Amino acid sequence: MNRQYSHTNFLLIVLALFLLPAGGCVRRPPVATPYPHPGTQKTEGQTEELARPARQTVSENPLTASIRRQARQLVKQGKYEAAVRVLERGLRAEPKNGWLWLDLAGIRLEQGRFNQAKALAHKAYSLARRDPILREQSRNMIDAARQQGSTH
Amino acid sequence: VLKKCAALLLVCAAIGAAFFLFARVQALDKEITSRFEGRRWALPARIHARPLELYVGKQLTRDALLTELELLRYRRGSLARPGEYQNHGAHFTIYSRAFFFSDGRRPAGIIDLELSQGKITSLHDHQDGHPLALYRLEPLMIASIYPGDNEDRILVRLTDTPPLLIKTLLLVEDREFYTHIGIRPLAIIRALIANLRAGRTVQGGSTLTQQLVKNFFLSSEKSISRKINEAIMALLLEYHYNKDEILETYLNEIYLGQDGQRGIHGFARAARFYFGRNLDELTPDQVALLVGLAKGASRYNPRRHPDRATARRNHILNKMGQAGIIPQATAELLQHRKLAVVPLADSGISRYPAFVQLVRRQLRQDYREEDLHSAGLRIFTTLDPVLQKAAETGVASTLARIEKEQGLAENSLQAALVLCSVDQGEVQAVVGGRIASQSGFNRALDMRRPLGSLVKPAVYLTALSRPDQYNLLTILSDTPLTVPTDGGEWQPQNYDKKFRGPVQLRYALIHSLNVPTVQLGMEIGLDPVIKTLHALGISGDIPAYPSLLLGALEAPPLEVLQMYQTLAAGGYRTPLRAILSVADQDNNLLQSYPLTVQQAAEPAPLFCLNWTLHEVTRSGTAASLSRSLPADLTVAGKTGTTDGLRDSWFAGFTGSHVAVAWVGKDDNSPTGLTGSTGALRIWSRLMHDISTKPLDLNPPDNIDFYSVDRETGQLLSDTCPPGELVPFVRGGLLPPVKSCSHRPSGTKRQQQPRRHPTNSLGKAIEEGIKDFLRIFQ
Repeated sequence: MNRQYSHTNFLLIVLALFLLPAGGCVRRPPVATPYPHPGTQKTEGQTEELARPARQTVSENPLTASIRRQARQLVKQGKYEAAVRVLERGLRAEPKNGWLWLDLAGIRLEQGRFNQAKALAHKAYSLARRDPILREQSRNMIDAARQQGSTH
Repeated sequence: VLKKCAALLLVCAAIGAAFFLFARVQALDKEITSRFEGRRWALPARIHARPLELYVGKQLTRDALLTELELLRYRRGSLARPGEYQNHGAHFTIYSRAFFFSDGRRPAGIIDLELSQGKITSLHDHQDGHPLALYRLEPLMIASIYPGDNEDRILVRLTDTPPLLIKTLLLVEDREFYTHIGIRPLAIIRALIANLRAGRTVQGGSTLTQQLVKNFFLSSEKSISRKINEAIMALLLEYHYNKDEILETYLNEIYLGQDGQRGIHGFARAARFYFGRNLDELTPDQVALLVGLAKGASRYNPRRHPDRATARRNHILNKMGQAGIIPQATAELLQHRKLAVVPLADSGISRYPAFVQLVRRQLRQDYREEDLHSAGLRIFTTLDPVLQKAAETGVASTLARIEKEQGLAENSLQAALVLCSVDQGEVQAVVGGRIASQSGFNRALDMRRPLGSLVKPAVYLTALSRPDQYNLLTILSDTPLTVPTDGGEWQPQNYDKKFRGPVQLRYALIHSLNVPTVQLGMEIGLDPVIKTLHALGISGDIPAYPSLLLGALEAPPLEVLQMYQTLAAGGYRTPLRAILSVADQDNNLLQSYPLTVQQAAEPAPLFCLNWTLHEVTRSGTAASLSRSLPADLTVAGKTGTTDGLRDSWFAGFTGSHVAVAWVGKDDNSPTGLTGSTGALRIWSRLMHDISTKPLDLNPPDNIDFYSVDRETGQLLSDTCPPGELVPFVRGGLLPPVKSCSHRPSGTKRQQQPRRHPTNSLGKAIEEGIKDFLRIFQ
């Protein structure tokens, strides 16, 4: 499979080499391609504060782990609002932790509060920039809330 | 016949007297039982601040922790009892008090805490050394809502009352309490004889039950009939209730002091009032003083008459020693102690009237007024006393400085300041005027003033939400403009009365230009702008006049806070909350006010807006912030000034806090202040003084950064040296690309990080080149 793909690419490069001289005869319009977010790399003239690494969403530091564990136990016991209060405590400590927002969305989904579940999952997604698993799970939650909301 | 008539009359009189007595006793019985039952449960609502949450990594300075401990009346000590702490440098050991939170009881416990560079670096259980993930101190009680009769008490169960207090009380006031029937006839006779001999009252014969009855009516009347009534009622109380019930009610009911309009009732409340302590934290000398007050709270008031109070306390300590309740040596030693009564100002009257007003308004939506007065509700709020203190201090001192610098009359300016958390919308501080402790007109909640340029972000957000038409570099026209209105026409002016010709959209916002804003607003339409304002959190009718675009819209600071909270939280509006939960007096949760969010704006346009609001604080109308705040504290915000310099506003946010400040005069006369020379300074002082996080501008997926030419507003082509990076909504309108004729020497464009072409052909070619090169490896 890879080998076949390499052959295709090889043919394409040969094709491109043929096309290059022709390209040189035509005046190409100037092209501007986007830069990565300044948060990941520092560029000249860019402010220091925006060049610092974007904050990682910490999924399982001891505090978050403890909060999520407690919330899960309460959910198992059917104590949804108590679980919400625990998660809110966690969010006071880590308001940018998307996992806590997602857990909150999960509880609202369980309770049938689909609009709130969707909004909370969107919030989780907005904080999941560097966490592909959180992104995926947030998307799933949004879809679930949308689907279940439309059938109720 | 005469004898018979006399006997009959006597019998009739006796029957009549018996009926009268019976009716009287019945009336008294009804009165005393209803009073007894009613008083037992009439408890004021208690309003609590947020608890201080402790966890590793939390931003917390040593000063802030000491302030918190001081507010909570912790004292340095040997950790013998709750409410004590030790501090050596950055290390704290705290013996917390037990507390019923709305989600359960947290027992008293000792914790070890280490601070370093303004953060908690370790948190452990003192007993077993076990690390603690999250621990909270008990919250400060910030206010009580009293019944109509202004009585204040903290209910304490007999079983929770320290035995030392009960023993001392019975020793001093009623040794035979558990054996008498409510009155002690012999003691009354003894007291009567002693008093007659002395010609004044030198001895009392009242039992605790009688004292309780007397306390129910608190009358200074000393008639015989009154005494008889009290005696009958005491007998009736003993008939209806057992001794423990009567003693428990006495402990909670007895009058022990006065705080302004409020009577201090019961030992638990008195312990807080005089010593700032819970009952179980009292030392024997403090117990002696409180018990001594039962005889005469006014006469032995330790604040007014410390000598009398000391003498009374020592007399009781002597008795305690003689009776063996405490060792005699201890009793003697304790007589040399000072009274150590806390200052009256910190007695528990609300020090935060503006915030409490907000809480009461929210409570009234869900509770009856009488429940607030007497049901003993426990209300858990979001107030952060440390932030509130910083806000109050900042307002008062900054206003005084502004007045001095601007040559304004002293105390001529007024202010309002509100603060909340970014993502949870929890209102953490409310300052309703320059003297925060004064209740009265609450400018933070009730003042409606024109918002001026604070409205502009809504105009620009509306435009940026149409990325196919507008971006941050869209050229707007700053030239004379005439807008037709109902009554004629309107010609908006810039603050400096100048016109700049074509300007970039972002430049117009950064420098708060009026004319291009009106041009833009009229282009996109007033109704979409109004829709945006509503979505962001401005409530009520918004009239669709063109002047709206420049802030001819009145709203209180709290509503502006909501609007900027939505911006700060990336477009997720969280309805502001001052109350988190309400529990009843038995700690059962009655109601919670959970966090909710609503997406009010698309993330990408909002990111572009916030990016620009950040620039406002770097190079725009709020550029002074870059000098007044620490270099690592990045912020975003907007100034606002109204016609005639009547209102000075600043609304802005960091990574964790949103705040709105207003400065002006109550009579709406000009102050001579702009947003940046007035309110901005209060805002800046607040953010400087509190622990807050820098702005975290986290771009959504569909944001692309392009290198642009600052002057022309064109994108720079790949062959150009890098310019300024500006965000654009992906797939939206882009400015024309400027090409550079040759790459200047020394520039290494290729070294700049670039996003790779995303089309599949491009990817395939790239892969192909790699494969091709591998052949030669």
